[in-house]
Amino acid sequence: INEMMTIWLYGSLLSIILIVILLYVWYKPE
Amino acid sequence: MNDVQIMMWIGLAIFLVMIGFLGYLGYKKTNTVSDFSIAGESLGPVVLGLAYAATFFSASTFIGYPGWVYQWGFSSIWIFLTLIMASPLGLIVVAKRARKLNITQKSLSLADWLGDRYNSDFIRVGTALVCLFNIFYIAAQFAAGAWIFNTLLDIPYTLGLTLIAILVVAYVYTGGSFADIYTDAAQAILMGIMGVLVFISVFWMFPGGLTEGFTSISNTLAERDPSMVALTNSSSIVFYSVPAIIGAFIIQFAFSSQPQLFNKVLALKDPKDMRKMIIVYVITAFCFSLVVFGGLYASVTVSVDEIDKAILSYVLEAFPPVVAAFLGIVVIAAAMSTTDGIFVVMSTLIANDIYRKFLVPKGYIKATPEEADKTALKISRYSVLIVGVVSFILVLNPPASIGMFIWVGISGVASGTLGPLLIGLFSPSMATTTAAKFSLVAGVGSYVVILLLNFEESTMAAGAWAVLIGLFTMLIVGYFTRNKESTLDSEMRKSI
Repeated sequence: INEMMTIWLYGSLLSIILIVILLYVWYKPE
Repeated sequence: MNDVQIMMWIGLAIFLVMIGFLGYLGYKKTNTVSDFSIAGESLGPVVLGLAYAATFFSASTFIGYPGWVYQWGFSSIWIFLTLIMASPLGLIVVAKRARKLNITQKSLSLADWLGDRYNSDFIRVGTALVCLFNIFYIAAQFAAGAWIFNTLLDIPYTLGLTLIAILVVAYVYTGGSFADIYTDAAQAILMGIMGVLVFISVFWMFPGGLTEGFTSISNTLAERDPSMVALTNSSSIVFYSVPAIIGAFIIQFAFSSQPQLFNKVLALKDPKDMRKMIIVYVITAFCFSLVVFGGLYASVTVSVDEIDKAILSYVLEAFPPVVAAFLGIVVIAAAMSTTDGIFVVMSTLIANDIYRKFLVPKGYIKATPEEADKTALKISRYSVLIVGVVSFILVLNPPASIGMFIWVGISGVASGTLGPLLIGLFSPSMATTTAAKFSLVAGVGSYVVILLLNFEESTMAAGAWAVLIGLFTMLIVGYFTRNKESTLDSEMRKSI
């Protein structure tokens, strides 16, 4: 579409990946 | 009365029954001051994740942010990224250790937690006093609720205001944080449905699929004004430059520890469930944030005289009347779910942070610990009434610079507390009481100065620079006073 929508798309994906990684490595319940 | 109004009245009746039932459930569970403040540390991750999201997102998410996108185009979509990237990261950094330390610390609020962590009444009472500015935030949310009653239902402004104030005061007075969290969780589900509905309307409002729809919006806006499709827009009040965008990310990171959110972290029964709570919050926040796209669709389909009406006009255009009525209830739910959390914070800071943990132990008021606990629960409830009445009066007679007072409550608290909070969690040797005092004063002070000098147009960026000043003050003073007066004993250090 345009620059902003590209940033929105990849930014959203990046933040989801980042959150999942942080929760996985740092917030292990056991 | 038109279709939207009839449906909204029916929806409101259902909504009120639901809130009343959840408030009653909360009342049955509230016996101590800890129950009133942090739900007795007894709640599960799903309900708290939903409540955290509903508290974070206020009426301005559903009215203000789509209005920004409507007015200034694609550049305002940055707000979406700050909400799903910066804020969750802020929560992830703080939540695990803050909850873990509280197993032994047993604090009841952000001010209480910092006061206990630094063993300092200056920090406890100082933070509590800055948090008092949040009464202006309550007033702003009440005003938003009254505005939607007036706009959609033609209810006179004062009557709408009275309705929403009595409703929130009633269920927080009786059910405390249990009622706050239960009702927030229900409101979160409504808000999430609305965000998703608005986003997917691209499929029937614009020809072709997702890409074609967005491309046609982008082309239309680019023809109208190239700055509508740029990454920054110099007319915008928030995203007018790269530093302003960075500032918005920084302040949203800090917002994740606002007092009305921090006490949701403390309310979690099992610290091991923190991961689940954060996942629920992130998914919910993603759904809420999608509503900003309504402003984008509105910019090429409707024309409004004030930008706050953009999303309402668009929903009336794109959906059957029942959805417009639903949006009205969602905005009220968004305002209430943020307000009730602040009510709990305000009453906790009067009853616990000032009375039970400062005035009684210092001997200013004589009471045994058992008496103080009982009295604190009473004070909690009376405080809710007082805060409700004061907020009501503030809405009807707003002081000249009420906008500034609102932001002191939001960003002032963040800039004074982020330094002591982060260093208190991650660097025990630098977490000295002296550094925390300096950081609190420097953060809040610099925020007030930046506001008064009006040197940054964006209130978000202004908050960000004050947050950085508070944080650097903590680091510098902490470095020079390190280890001389460490606030944690060695055993505690090993456990975090």
